[in-house]
Formats: sequence, structure tokens, C-alpha cells
Amino acid sequence: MAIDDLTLVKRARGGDQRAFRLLVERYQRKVYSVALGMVKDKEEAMDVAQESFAKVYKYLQHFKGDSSFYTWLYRLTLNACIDVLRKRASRKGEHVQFDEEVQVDLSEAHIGVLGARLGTNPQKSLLRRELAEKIEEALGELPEKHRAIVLLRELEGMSYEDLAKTLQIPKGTVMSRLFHARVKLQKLLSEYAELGVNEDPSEDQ
Amino acid sequence: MNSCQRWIPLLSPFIDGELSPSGRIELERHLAHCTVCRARVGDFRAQSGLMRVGFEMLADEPNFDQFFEKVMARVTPDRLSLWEQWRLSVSELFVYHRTAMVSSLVTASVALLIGTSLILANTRTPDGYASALWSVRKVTTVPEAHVAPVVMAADRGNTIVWLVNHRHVLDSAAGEGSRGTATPEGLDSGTSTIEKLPLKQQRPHGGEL
Amino acid sequence: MRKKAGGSPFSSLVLAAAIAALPVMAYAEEQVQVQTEVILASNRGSIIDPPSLEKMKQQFSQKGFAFTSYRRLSGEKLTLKKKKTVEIKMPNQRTATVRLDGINQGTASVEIIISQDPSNVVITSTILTLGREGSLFQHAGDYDGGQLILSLSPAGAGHPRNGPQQSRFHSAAPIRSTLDSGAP
Repeated sequence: MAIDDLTLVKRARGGDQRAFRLLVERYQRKVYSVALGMVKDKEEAMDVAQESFAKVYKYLQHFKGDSSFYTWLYRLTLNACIDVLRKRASRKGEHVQFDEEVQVDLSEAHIGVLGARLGTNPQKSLLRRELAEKIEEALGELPEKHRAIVLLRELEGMSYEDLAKTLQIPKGTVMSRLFHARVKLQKLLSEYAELGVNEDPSEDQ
Repeated sequence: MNSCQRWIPLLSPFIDGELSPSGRIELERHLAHCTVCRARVGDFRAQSGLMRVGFEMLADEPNFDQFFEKVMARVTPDRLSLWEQWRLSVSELFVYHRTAMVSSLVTASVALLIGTSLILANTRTPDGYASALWSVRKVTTVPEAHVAPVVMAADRGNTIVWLVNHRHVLDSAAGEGSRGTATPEGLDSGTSTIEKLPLKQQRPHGGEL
Repeated sequence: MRKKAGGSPFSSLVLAAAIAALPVMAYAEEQVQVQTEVILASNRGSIIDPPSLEKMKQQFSQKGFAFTSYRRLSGEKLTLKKKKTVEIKMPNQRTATVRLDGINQGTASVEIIISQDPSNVVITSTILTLGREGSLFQHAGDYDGGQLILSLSPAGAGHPRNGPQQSRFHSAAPIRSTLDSGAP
């Protein structure tokens, strides 16, 4: 018996802390995952996740209910992540590249490698943590814009429409940005796959 | 390969099911005779699945047991004291209505003085105590705690809320929220005082009053 | 308000009233004071400390509890505000969280949550409304051979630390002004 988000939000606004707790529990892991993908540090990710829900609680009265709750939640989360990344970069003296456009690499060399190597059932391939860590690493090499959209699409399964709302960009931009992000990721992961770390024949699908 | 250029960016929304029906049909027509693009679709799908599973694996590690409580702990300390909030709103007014503000300052301070003196003078009925008697409205226990609340109303608004080992609750007079009969925690010292509770004679007012 | 031009006497008055109302309004609606005590009830000896707990012993024995000793371990006067909870750590690895739910027509509604340390797992929650007379004795588990009880009572009354009981809650309580009705 799952109560929908909007009902829980209404109840939470009325002071029902249990409703708010249900909302938190419903999204805590996903929010943490997105934050982890963005900031790459577990503790900071946990910090961001908690802070995002705290903001939700504080601004609950201001939530208009016209966008879905979770796009609002993720927007708060992403903003918190961006703050963390900017602070980190300014400490290191790096220039935060937020508007980088990725060159589309259509070279033939990598095509089909990922698909062949891993098949479409990744469960069997993920016997080793290394692969998960490689993903995290590859993700980290993306500029934040692309990292964010990939995370929201793959972890939350957000529709393009919701992605547009969360990131406050037009739907056409969602399409192209996600495409560019995936192409770059693919290149990074293919390089990894080709290096032959997973030589275990049982993993060949 | 050049003819594939126009199709490649569409492969991404294709695997997400976000192409328009006509767009999808056109793409599928191309895929029917282009093995390279089919392989590309496979790559996109593989990567998509990989992302999802890989990240879920990483996110499984931390313990979320106290997460909610930690969230609430961040909410509770006052970010801005009441006076700071007031000061901010007043300064905002100053920026936009300077002349009006200046001319109304005297009026404002007089009104303020009256207001605060009324508050300070108000010692008869402090805030929140308008009612005559205390009254317990609701007692809830979580099932996992394996305790049942027993609510006992004494005279003149005094109420005792006692937590009993669920095993000791002999009749269905248990309060709201108690379930199960597993071993309780924290209350299983079996102190004689609990056993002295004449539970059968109790007429507890468990649950909503 | 930003778009209006200031300067007319009427708008100055409105502004003045709004400013004056701000702290008063917020102050009047946002808080309640309660006295809390953590009491150990046991059968070890027959010490009633402080002596004012004698009344508590009577109330408890009326209900069938046969504790011989009641000892106050700690006490604190709390000022509860909406969205500002107060935590009382108890010696039995439990925490009592006391919060103001709200004030409705002058009556405060308070919630007490007992949770387990360090996991913060909630054990029980009690919601009650306050009044000039009365108190709550919330059982909080066992400790040191006895039972811990968190007591809540009106601030200033109940179990005073020193000297005579203040009688302000028992005198006639006329409504002073619209300010203490709690309504904004």
C-alpha cells in the first residue's frame, strides 16, 4: 500500500512527521546515490543527502506541488552537489568546467565492444567491485552537467520530461546532453573493457 | 558510415523509449539493415544497465538506519533567531520605503512598547496553558520495540504512561501500535515492580482518547 | 509591498502596525515552557528525594505501583518552540525528544518520543495537550535496578527545587488580552 508522494507531502506540510519520514525513506538511497555519483566522496554524499532532505523539510511550505516532488528533491540535491564541487574546486584552484561541450567520437574502434563484452545483463559482469569502481571513476571524468544527467536517468529512471523540469533545461537539451554524456562514458568504459581486466571467460556473454 | 551520422544521436533517446512514434519507426527501419548501428544500440544499452547496477551496488554500503533522525537533527536548531529575522525584514523595508519608515518610527516604537509590555505583564496564563487540565491524546509504540503502552489516568490531569513487555499484557487492553509477541528489549529485566502491576484490574485508556 | 510608493500617512500607519505586530505575533504563538524531571523509581530503600515526590508516589501507588523509592536524577525547565525539539539524554541509553506540536487556541500540544541510543530507533511516542493542572509520567525503561520515569509538568509548578510552590496556575485566570489567545 504505497501512498503517493503528493499525499505524503500534503500531510508532512500539515505537521505529520511520519509522512515526512516515509518520504525520506522512500528516496534516501537514491538521493545518496546521485550525490555519490556527483561528489564521489561517501561522507560528503551522505552529508549532501541529509542536507537536501533538511532543505525539503524547511521549504515544504513553499513547495507549490506543480512539479512532482521528486524533481524538486533532485534539484535541491544537485544544487547541493554543485556547491560542494565548486567549493572543492575553488580550494584546489581549479576552474570548474560546467559548460564544456563534449566532442562526439564516432570512431569505429570502440563500437560493439561494450555490448559484446558485457551483454545486456550486467548483473553477471558485476561480480567484482572493481567494475563498479571503474564506473564511478569514469563518471567522475565527466563534467558535472553530464554526470548529473546520467545519474538521474540511470539511477532514478527519470523521463526526459522530468529531467527537463529538474535541470530546468528544454527537452531538446536533455536529449543531446544525455547523448553526449553517454558517448563520452562509453569511450571511457570501452577503454577499460578493452584493457582486458575482465579476462574471466565465465563473464563472456 | 556517413549515412549513420543522422541516426546516431537518436540512439540514446531510442533506448530510453523517448523517441516519437514516427521517429522510432524510421530508426527501426534503419536498424533493420545497419549492423553497426545495432551494435551501437547494444553498447548504449549495456552501458545504461551497467550504470544502474554499478551504482546501486555502491549505494548499498552505507547504513541508512539513522538517516531520518540525522535529517531532523539538522532541521531543529534555529538558523535565525527571531530578532534577526525581524531585523532583516525591517531593514528590507528601510531600503524600499525610507521616508515612510522614518515617519512611522515613532508610531512603531510606541506600538512595540505596548506590545512587549503586555507580553511581559502577562503572567496569569502563560502561552500554551489555556486549558485547565493536561490530557494525553495518543500513545504509539513501534512494533519492533515489543512494548505495549498502558495509559493510566490519575486525578486532576495526571497521567501515567507505562511500557509493558508485550508478553505481560494478558488481555487485549494493550495500547495502539503493539503487535507481536517476540522477546522485548530493555524491559526484560523482569523486575518485580512490573509483575506487581495488577494488569487484569487495570482499565487502561490505550490509544486515542 | 515593494511596489507601493511610501509616504502617505495611512501606509505609514500600516507599516508601523505591521512592524509592531511582528515580534509580538511570533512571540505569542511560538513557545511553551515545561518542567521536566528524570526520576528513578525502585524498590531499593525508601528514599523519596526530593520530598515533593511524595505526591508522585501516592499517585503511583493508587495505580498499583508499589515502588518504595523515588529519586530525582535530573530536572530541567524547557522552552519548547515549534520545529525546535529538545533532547533529554537518559542514563539508560535512551533519549527523550520533547517537541511542541503547536498551540491551538491557547492550548499547547506536545509530543514526547522515547528512542534508543545510539541507533535512534523510536520506541514510543506520546502526544498530549497541556493545561494549568496535571502532569505526565512517561515510563522510559529500566535502569539500575529500577524504572526510569520522565515527568513533565507545568513550568514553575509541580516539583519545585527550592521553596514554596508558585500558585499562579491555581488562581483565577482571566483572559488578559487578545495577545495571549495564541491566535495570530
